[in-house]
Amino acid sequence: MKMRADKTAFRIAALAAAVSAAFSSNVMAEEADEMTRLIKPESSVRLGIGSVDKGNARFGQYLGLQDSGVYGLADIDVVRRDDATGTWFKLRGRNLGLDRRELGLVYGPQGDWKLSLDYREIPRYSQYTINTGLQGIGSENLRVQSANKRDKVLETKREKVSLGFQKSIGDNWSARFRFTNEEKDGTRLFARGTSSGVGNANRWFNFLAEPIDSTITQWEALISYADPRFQLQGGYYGSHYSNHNTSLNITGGGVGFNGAGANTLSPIALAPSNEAHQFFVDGGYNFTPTTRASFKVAYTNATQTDAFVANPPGVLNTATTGNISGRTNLGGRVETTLAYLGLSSRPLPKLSLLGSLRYEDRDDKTPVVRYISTTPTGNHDGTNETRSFRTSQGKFEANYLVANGYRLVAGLDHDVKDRDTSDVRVVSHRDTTEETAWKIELRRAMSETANGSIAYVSSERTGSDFKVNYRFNGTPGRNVIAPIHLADRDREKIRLSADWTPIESLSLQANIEDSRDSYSSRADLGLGARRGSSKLYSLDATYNASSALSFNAWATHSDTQSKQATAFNAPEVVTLTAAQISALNIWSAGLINKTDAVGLGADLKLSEKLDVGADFEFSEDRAEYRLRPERGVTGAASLPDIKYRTATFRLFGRYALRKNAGIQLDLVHDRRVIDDWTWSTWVYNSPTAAGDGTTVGQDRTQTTTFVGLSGYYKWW
Amino acid sequence: MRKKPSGIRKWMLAALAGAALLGGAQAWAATESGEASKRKDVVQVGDAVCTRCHDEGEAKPILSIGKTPHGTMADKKAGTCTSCHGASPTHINKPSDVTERPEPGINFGKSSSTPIAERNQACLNCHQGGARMHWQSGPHAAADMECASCHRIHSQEDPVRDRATQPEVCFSCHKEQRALVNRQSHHPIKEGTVICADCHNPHGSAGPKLMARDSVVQTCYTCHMEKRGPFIRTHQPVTEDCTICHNPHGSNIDNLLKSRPPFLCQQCHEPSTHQGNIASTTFPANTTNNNTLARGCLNCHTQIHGTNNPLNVGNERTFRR
Repeated sequence: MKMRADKTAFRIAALAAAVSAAFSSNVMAEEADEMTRLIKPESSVRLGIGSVDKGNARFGQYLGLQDSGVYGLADIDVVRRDDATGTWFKLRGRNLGLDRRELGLVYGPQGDWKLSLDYREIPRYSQYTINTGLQGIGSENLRVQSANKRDKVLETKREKVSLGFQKSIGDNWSARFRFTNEEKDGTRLFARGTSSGVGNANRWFNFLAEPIDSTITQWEALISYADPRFQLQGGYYGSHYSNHNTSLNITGGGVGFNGAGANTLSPIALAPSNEAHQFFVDGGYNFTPTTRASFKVAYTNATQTDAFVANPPGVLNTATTGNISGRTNLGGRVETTLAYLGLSSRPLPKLSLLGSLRYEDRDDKTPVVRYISTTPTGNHDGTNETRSFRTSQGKFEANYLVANGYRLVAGLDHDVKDRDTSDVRVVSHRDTTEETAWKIELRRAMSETANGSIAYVSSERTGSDFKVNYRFNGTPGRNVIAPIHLADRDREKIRLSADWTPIESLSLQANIEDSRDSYSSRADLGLGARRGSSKLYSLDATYNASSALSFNAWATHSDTQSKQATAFNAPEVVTLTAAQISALNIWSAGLINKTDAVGLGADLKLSEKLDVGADFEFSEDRAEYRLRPERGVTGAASLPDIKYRTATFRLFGRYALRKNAGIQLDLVHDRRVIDDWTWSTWVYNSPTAAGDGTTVGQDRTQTTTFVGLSGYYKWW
Repeated sequence: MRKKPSGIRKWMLAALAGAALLGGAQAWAATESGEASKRKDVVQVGDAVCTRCHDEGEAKPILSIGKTPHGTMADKKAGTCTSCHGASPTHINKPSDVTERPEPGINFGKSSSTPIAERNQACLNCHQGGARMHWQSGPHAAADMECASCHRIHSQEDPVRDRATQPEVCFSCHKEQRALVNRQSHHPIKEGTVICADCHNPHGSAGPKLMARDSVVQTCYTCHMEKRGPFIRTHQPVTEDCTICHNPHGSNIDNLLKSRPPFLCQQCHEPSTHQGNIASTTFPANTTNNNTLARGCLNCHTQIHGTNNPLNVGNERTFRR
C-alpha cells in the first residue's frame, strides 16, 4: 500500500486547520445563536482521511486517486464579513490533500474593490500502462531500445495561479485586472512511424514520449462604464505560450529513422512558443425599456517567431535536405478582427424580436516562403501554407404569444465561410460555404404544472465550386472527396421537450431529439461522408416526499450513426470518366455509437442529527464499425465492437455531534469493464532488430473502492 | 427531588418572563398597528417590512440572503427586497376587499405570473454589462430562461457558481452533454476540475455556442495554446474549428475524437497512395492495420495539428516531424 497522504497534503491541511482556528476563535467557545446562524456567512472546515483499495487507471485519472493508499481529505471555507464596512474575507480550499487541490482567496469591501488569488492543480494520469525500454522519458533526448523494459504510466499536471483585482471608480466606472500563469509539466504518449507493407524494411514504428514543460500566461485589463441605460467596456487581453522544449532528438530505433536519409524522423519539432494581443470594446445600449443593442469589436495580433529546430547532424541547408528559405523562424503573424452586433426588442407585449450579425476575419499574414524543394511532379510547392478564414453570420428570431399560453418562435440563420488555400494541394477545397437554417418552434405553458415545446430545424449548406487539386507541374491530382466540413449538406432536426409536475412533490421531464444529415458527394460518386443521424431520448424524475426525503432518477439513450465511403487510389484527373468511375474500388463504413446511461439518487434525513444520501450511475457506450465492400474490394470486414461500461455507487452519511460539528462517511465503489481492441494487439515493431517492442495496455476490468472518514466544523 | 429555585434565580426567571411577554406584546402591537417601519432591519436595508412575516417559520423564509452579497448592508448598491421584488404595496398591506394576499410585484420561479423579461430586468438593473453585456441577444434569453432558473439568490451557496456542482445545474437541461461526459475520453467535468463556464459564457457571448472567448478556437487556446501556431504546415480544420474533429464534451475514442482514424481522416482526404486503405484490426499480418490500431493514421502523422519543422528530410509536410 502506498502512503499518498504526503507531507505537502498534510502541511496544507494543517494550515487550513490553523486558519480556521484563527478565524473561529471568538465563536468556538460558544455556539452561535439561531439568528446568527440564519443570517451570517457560514464558515466550515472538513478534515479526514480516505483510502483507495487498489490502483486504478480510469477512476482516478483526474481525481488524484489513482494509486492504492491513504489520502488526506481537507476542505475549508472561511467566509468573514465585516458588517460595518461590508469587507469580505473568503478563503476557500478544496481537495487540499489530493493532487487536484484548489485554494482561493478573496478580500475587499463589497462595492469598492476586490482582490482575488486562486491556485489550482489539474492532474491527468494516463489510462494506459506502457511497457517500454525507451530511455530518457521526460527529456528532449530519447533513446529507443528494446532492452530493460518496464511499466510506465505517463502523466501531466497543470498548476494554475490567478491574480485578480477590481476597483469601482465612482458610481458608474470600474476597472479590472486579471493575470493567470499556468505551468504544465509531464509527458504524453507520442510516437513516430513510417508506413509500408509488412516485410518492407521501411515499415517502422517507435514509441516515444513527448516531454511537456510549458507555460501559458494570460493578462486581461479592462475598464467599464455602466449606467441603467448604457454599458461600455474596453480592454486588453494578452496571452503567451512558452514551450521550454524545442525538439525531440532520438537515437536508436533504426538507422534510417535518425540519419540524414529521406526518412529521417529526428529531430522532431515540438510546438513553437507563440503569443497574441487583443484589444476589444464591447457595450450595450437600451434605446427603450424593451429595445436593446449590444456590440463587440476586437482586434487580435498573434505572432509566432520561435527559432526553427537545428538541422540533424550532417544535414546542410541544401535543396534536397535542409531549409532552403534562409529564414531562422517563420515570422508567423495572424490578425483577427471581430465585429458583433446584437439587437433585441419587444415591440408588442406579445412579440419579441432578436437578431445578431457577426463577422470574424482571421487574416494569416505570415510571409509565404519556399522552405523545402520539390519535384515537378510533387504534390506540394514547398512553401508554408497560410490559413485565412472569414465568417459572416446573421441570425433573426421572432417569438410571439399566440393565445392560451402558446408561443410561436420562428428563426432564420445564415452563415457564410470563406477560406484560402495553396495553389498546390492534395485535399479538396472550396473557397466558400454558405449555410441557411430556419427553425419553427411551438412552446406552451400548458398550466402552472406543465410546459412543453416542439421545434423543427432545417438547414442547407452549399458553396462555391470545388477547386481542382493540382500537382506542382500543373497536372491534376485526385478530385473525388468533398471534405465533411465543406460538403453540401441538408440537415433536419426535431426536438420535443416536456415538463410536468403532476403533484407538487413530483416533477417529470422528457426530451426527445432526432436529427438527420444528408451529404452530397462530388460528381455523385458516393465517396466521403454520405449521411448521419443522431437520436437522443431522456427522462428525468424528481420526487420530494418531504423535506426529509427526496429521490431523483434519470435515463438517457443516445444513438449516433454515420455512413461514409472511400476508394483505393483513385485516378488523378479533374473529372473521372465513366470507365474510371466503374473501375473505382469502393468500400463503405457505417459508424454507430450508442450510449445508455441511468442515474438514481436519494437523500434522506433520518433524524435531526443524521443525513444519508446515495446515488448510482451506470453508463454503457458501444461503438460499432460496420464495413462493407461495395465494388472491387475484398477484406472489408466489420471490426469488433468497442464497449465501455461504468457503474459507480456513492454513499454518504453525515452525523451531527452538535449543531455545528459532526462526522462524515463517504463511500465510492466504481467498476469499469472495458472491451477495446485499440491497443490490445499493437506492438511498436519493425521488421528489423531495431524494433522496440513497446506495448500499451489497460486492465479489462477495473474495480475501485474509496472510503473516506472526516470531521467537519462550522462557525459563523 | 427537584430543587426549588433560589431567590435570585426566581427573580431572574420572573424578569425574563416579563421581558418576553412585554416584547411579544410590543411586536404584536407593532404589527397590528402597521408600524413595521419601526422594526429593525435584519439583513437588508428596509427589509423589516418583509422579515416581519418572512422569517424562518414562514413558508418562504428569506433570512438566509443575509449570508450573501445581496445581504451586505454596508454596500449601498447591494439591493433590497423591493429592488428585486418591486414595491408590492398590496402584498405588504393586504387590501381589505381581497381574501388572498396578492403576490409581490415581481415574482420568480416556475409558478410566477411575472413576465420573464421583467423578472430578468430586476437582475439586469444592476448586473447588466460585463459578462452579461449580450444577455438579451443570447440563446438562453431566447429560450425564455430566467436568471433564477440557474441561480439561487437567497442562499450562501449558489450551486451554479460552485465548480463542484455547476455541471449538474447545466445538465438539468443539457441531457446530451450529461451522457457525453460519462464517456471514457472526456474533459474532467464530472471530476470538477474543468467546468462548463471555463468554455462557455451562459450569459451571452459574441462567439458561437456561447463561447467564453470570441470563437471556438480562441476558447480552446486558453488551455491548449500549443495548437495556436501558426506553423509552417497547419492542418486546415485546426485553424477553423476544433469541433470538426473533436467532441469537447466526451467521446469513447481517445483524445475526444469524433470518429476513429482512419474513418475520421477519410472524411476529408483524397484516396491516394494509402489514404483509402481498408480499416483492419488484424495484426501484424495485414498491410493496413497501422491505420486502425493504436493511434491509427496518427501512428505516423503525429504532428496532426501542425509542424514548424522547416527541413526537407523527413516528410514534415505530412505532419510527421
